Amino acid sequence: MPSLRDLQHRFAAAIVADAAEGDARVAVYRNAVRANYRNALGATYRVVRELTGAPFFNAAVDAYARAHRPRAVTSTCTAERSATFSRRIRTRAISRTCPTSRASNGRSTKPTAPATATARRSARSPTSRASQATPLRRCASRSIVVPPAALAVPDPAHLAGAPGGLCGRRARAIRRGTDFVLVTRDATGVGAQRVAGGEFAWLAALLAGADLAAALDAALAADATFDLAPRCARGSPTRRCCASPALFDRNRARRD
Amino acid sequence: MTSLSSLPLPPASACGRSTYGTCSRTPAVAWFEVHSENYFADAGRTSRRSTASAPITRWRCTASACRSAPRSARPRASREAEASRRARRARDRLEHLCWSGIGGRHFNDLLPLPYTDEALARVCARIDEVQAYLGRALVVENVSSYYAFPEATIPEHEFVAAIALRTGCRLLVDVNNIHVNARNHGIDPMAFLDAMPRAAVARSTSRATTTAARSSSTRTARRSRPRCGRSTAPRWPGSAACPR
Repeated sequence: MPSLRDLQHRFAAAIVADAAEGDARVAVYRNAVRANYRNALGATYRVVRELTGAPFFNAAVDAYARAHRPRAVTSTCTAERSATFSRRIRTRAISRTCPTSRASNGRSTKPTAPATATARRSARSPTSRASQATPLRRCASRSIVVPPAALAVPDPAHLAGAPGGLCGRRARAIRRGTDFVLVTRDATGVGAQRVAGGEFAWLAALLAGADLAAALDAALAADATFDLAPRCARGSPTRRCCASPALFDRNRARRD
Repeated sequence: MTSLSSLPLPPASACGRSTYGTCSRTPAVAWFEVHSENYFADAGRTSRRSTASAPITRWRCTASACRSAPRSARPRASREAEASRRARRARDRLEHLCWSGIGGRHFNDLLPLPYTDEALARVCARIDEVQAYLGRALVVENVSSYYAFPEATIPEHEFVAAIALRTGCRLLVDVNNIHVNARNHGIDPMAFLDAMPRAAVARSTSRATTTAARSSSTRTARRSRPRCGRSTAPRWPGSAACPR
């Protein structure tokens, strides 16, 4: 007669097994557990799920759950608010399954500006919905900057058709070729907003360690009409600094 | 959106937190039922709001009453400790008769128990431990299962009844779960209901998710009322009566 512990270990092993073989009744629990993980993480990472597509996102969740087994109920029900999910998604795991993009595990690496990033298109899957000219890069510990410079969206509903839109907000149409999406995440969830090329260059340069003057030059190079004032205003979601009056004068002179 | 307060709710009905969140004013219900794990991260912020207007029932799914590993004396996370303190003030504290994790791995699901003497002793010990911590009787709910361990030596209804008799805990008899188990494992639902110690039954309920299950489960529920004493109105997830 096996012990209670042995019986439970045997049942747990059957649940986490990848193969679909075995008792069909156990498969009910296996599917339910996987669905719970996907729903829990998808509830917080809504934008990521919309951008990458459900097949990729589900595969990433499965890989994450295999590599980092949940140890407490709060880690699944609150969907890992401490960002361990996005932090632990490995580039290799994503590139294997994601038809959309690659992600840099930027815990200690500094991102490069999109202008200098190597353009790499991924067309690994016939079900590919989009491709990016630059890899998805997490530019700060609390933000994710996605530059869909060459985002091809054959099915606009893929991004904009979700009920309620991205993150509960009205979905923004992402045009091909010129726009950038700033994806941020805080304690309340994930949000996405479209930013102009100049602003993206400004943020990317600052996050890469450039000083204000160099960041301003990068922004103006990307967008000649770039205006520094709104970016430094209090309450701006992309506010990163308080620029000096001289910098504003320089910005004004360059724009004029 | 339909106002919940305008619905003809029976006085013994409960209300799920998701519905309460959409109400402009407090509906006239006997108590609120919250899924505890959903509020651990916020340390019961929502619970404070609803406790002021109606009693609250903590309905937890994954405390793993039959976990093999010994449980630490105090919750590790401060937020969970805060939630536990609030749970002690709750009207009822519900737990499912199941397990959810082993070997450091947590499954967010209600996993079936092997109904053996060792499992019975383990569950009773855990319930005693929780009741001592809470300072009140725990309410234990029978679960639906899709897998029966061939090593089981005790029928489910005897297992549930023995737990109530040994620990003094109370029972939430979910008639729909009995119905599901009867279909899955071929047990007699009426024999299950007859085996429940009536004095230990806190209440009975029925939560069905499909129309077919509702109709058949309702028949079982109606027949169960003389056996199980107090019974709430059948509550269906997603319906107007008590969505959850």
